[in-house]
Amino acid sequence: MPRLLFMTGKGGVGKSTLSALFALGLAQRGEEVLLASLDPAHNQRDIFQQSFGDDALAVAPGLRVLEADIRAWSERYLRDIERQVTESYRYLTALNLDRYFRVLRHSPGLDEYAMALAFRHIQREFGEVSTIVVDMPPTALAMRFLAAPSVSLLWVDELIGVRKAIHERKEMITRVRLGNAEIESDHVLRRLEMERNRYLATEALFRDAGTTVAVLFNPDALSWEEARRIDEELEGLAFPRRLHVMNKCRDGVDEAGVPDSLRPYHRVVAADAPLLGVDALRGFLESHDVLPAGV
Amino acid sequence: MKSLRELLDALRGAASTFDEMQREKAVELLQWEHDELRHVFALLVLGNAVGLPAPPVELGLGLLPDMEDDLRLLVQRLDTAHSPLSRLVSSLRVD
Repeated sequence: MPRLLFMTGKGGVGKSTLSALFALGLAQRGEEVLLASLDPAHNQRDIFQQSFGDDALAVAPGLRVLEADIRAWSERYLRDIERQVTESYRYLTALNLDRYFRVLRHSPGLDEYAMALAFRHIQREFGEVSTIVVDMPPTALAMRFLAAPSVSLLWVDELIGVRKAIHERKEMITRVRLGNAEIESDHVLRRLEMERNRYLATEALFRDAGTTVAVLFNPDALSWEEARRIDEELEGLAFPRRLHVMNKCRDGVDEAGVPDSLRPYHRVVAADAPLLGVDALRGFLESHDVLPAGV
Repeated sequence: MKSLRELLDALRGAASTFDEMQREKAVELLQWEHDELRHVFALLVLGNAVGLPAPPVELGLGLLPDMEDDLRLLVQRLDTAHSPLSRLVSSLRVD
């Protein structure tokens, strides 16, 4: 199973550039690395100066890059649900289902589920690489994605409880009315149990020793305050391995105010010019200490 | 002989009707509880339609294709929503 490194932080701290540097640095050490961007902003195409999609492209020895098309994943998922619903509720086709599903496209929560689908696809397709570096979207969406398995488990456990109580009563009623007649299995309960197993597997993966969440920040109070909140939330979600990285460090900037919970942290100095293209990234890796110990 | 058989059949029929009545009486409350629980379940999954907190969107959408009966129950309940107490009182046989 590949190691996972999620790169999180406030917008603009340099998540995409550091993701590219970490991924290339690990590949240069001889690892087989996949850099997967789940950020709808698609910054990797600017950094590597080539287009990416859901299929991984090799950009350097040992390093492949993909950018998940979150909107396409969400469209595919909605189309699939729409097909299933239309099959189950044929008599409703007189109603304008298309219109209903157009509204669903703007439902809160759909983006993180599309991210989860893209992430599952990446896990399935790239099980053979040694490390997957995940370039995450800005904080709010990233945290909802990372919290999704735990939050969904709370709901699914509650729903399973109610559904089982319904099934028990149905069984008793059938037994009294018809003796020992078998009652048909509950599709809803089966689906809920399937979802529960899926959430449990993702939660276990997030808490696995091979999973690290990097919390990135810059040498400014706003960004380390947000990093502190991210770190606190990750602690609450029981992510065991967290890595703190201060990016864009410059001499003479006072770092005394960095919260204790973000210490110790690894420092990456600011680049003099934007790091665009593999050669620029390689040059920066050669002249600076970028990869933290233990990554 | 024929009349004895007729008498036995009539007794059997009466016993069966009595048995059925007793069984129906026994499950009436269970049936009510079952329907209420299904209503609770539908409200938990689809409650955002009436302003209740909803489960993550994929959970609700994933269950939707299998929830035709639950949806029908929810819509039926809208018709009787004005008299939930009278339904409860009649189910518990309180005068």
